[in-house]
Amino acid sequence: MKTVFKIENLDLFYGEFQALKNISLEIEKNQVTALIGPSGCGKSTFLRCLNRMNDLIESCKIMGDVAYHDENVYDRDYDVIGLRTKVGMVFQNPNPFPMSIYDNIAYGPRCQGIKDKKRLDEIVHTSLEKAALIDEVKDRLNDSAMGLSGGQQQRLCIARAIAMEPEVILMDEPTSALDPIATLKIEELMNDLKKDYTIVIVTHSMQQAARISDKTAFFLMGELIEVDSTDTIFTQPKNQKTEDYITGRFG
Amino acid sequence: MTNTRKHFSDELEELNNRVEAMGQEVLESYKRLVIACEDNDIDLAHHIMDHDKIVNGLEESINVDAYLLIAKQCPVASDLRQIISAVKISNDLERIADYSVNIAKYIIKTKNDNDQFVSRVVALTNLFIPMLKDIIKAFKSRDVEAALKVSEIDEKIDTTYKKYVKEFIKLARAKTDEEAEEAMRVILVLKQIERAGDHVTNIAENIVYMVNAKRLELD
Repeated sequence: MKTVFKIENLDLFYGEFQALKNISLEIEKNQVTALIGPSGCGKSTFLRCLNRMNDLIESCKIMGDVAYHDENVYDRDYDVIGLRTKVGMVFQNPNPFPMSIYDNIAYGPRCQGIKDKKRLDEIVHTSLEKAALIDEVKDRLNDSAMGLSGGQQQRLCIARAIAMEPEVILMDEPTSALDPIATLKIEELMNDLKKDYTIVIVTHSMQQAARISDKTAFFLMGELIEVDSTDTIFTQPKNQKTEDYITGRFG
Repeated sequence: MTNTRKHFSDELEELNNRVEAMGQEVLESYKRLVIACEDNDIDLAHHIMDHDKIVNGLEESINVDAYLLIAKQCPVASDLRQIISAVKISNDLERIADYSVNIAKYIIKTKNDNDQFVSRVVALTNLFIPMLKDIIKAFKSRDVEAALKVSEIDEKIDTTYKKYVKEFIKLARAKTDEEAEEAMRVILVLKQIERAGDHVTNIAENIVYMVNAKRLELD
């Protein structure tokens, strides 16, 4: 199994508050890794370290290694734009741009200098196809993306991430604003996407982590309590705290 | 409506396919048993014993996967019934396979030169084979009616078994100690097939439960 991210001894502070404590974790290629844990446990903070989304928070101080293909992304001269191209992100609330479905997808590639209409058409089509949205929108690509349903908007955001040809897609509670059917569609999609991409997902739903991930990491109060294959975590966790959390004894 | 849980559905189908495959493996053992008994083929009897490892392996894998599906997919309604049934049916099939191993051991240990013994064991096994075949088919096609029909064969097996037991008890009384012991052994062998039939009716009950959630108790 090829390692995409190797995180070692990661500490993160928001001012005086330590949000992550000595985290070491590996993210494997073409796998879905789920980060679970109660609110405030640090799972989203951890996810945001992977493409340096915490850079924007002034009081945030980071120590330790977040190696993406053996290079620490927190090195002084690391190419952050390049990193965010390779490591895309999908957020909790679908956030399509206020423009057409087509332009939403073409936005990133255009920013990268792709102008050829045929090439852009191809990217838009492939991305929507991979995001399992093409059949629902192929006849209205020029309509506003804001007219799509929540579930469709979220798949559009996934398509938008795919259009940049990333290697990794980070998902921060991507279905918590969606109804159960739209949620299941996104989950099915994740299962398909892992053939081509590496996915790291933060989820509040333990059942979701169980259903879709290959590997599960349980966070509690800034610590990584346990990480193992999802099969093991949900049938025979080694740590009592993990057992208590997944069986709903606390949280 | 599109299937929003295709991956889960595929895993369920795979689980069911494995139960069916397990049934076919057990069926093969019983077919071989007839040949081994008729020809007093010790090698084939050994093969039946070895073959049990495959059946046990299938049961183990069905149990593990069912356990994971329950833990990870939170199945409900017919999905849950299918998984529970897969576990129970594979358990019955494993027991049925164990009986074939016991009979194979008998073939290996005894001389099998008494035609009456051989013919009775073969006759009862030949009654059982179509029963097993029918239940595998009923499982595959989710056919409740066909599943329930196996109880007719089971009755026939029970009646025949009782008839044969009487015959051998008579033999045990009349002949030498050696032959009496042999007759007792045959009774025990016949009992294995009778028990195997009971497990097939258990499978029938589970098919009914799997399909329409009704709990039946077949005699």
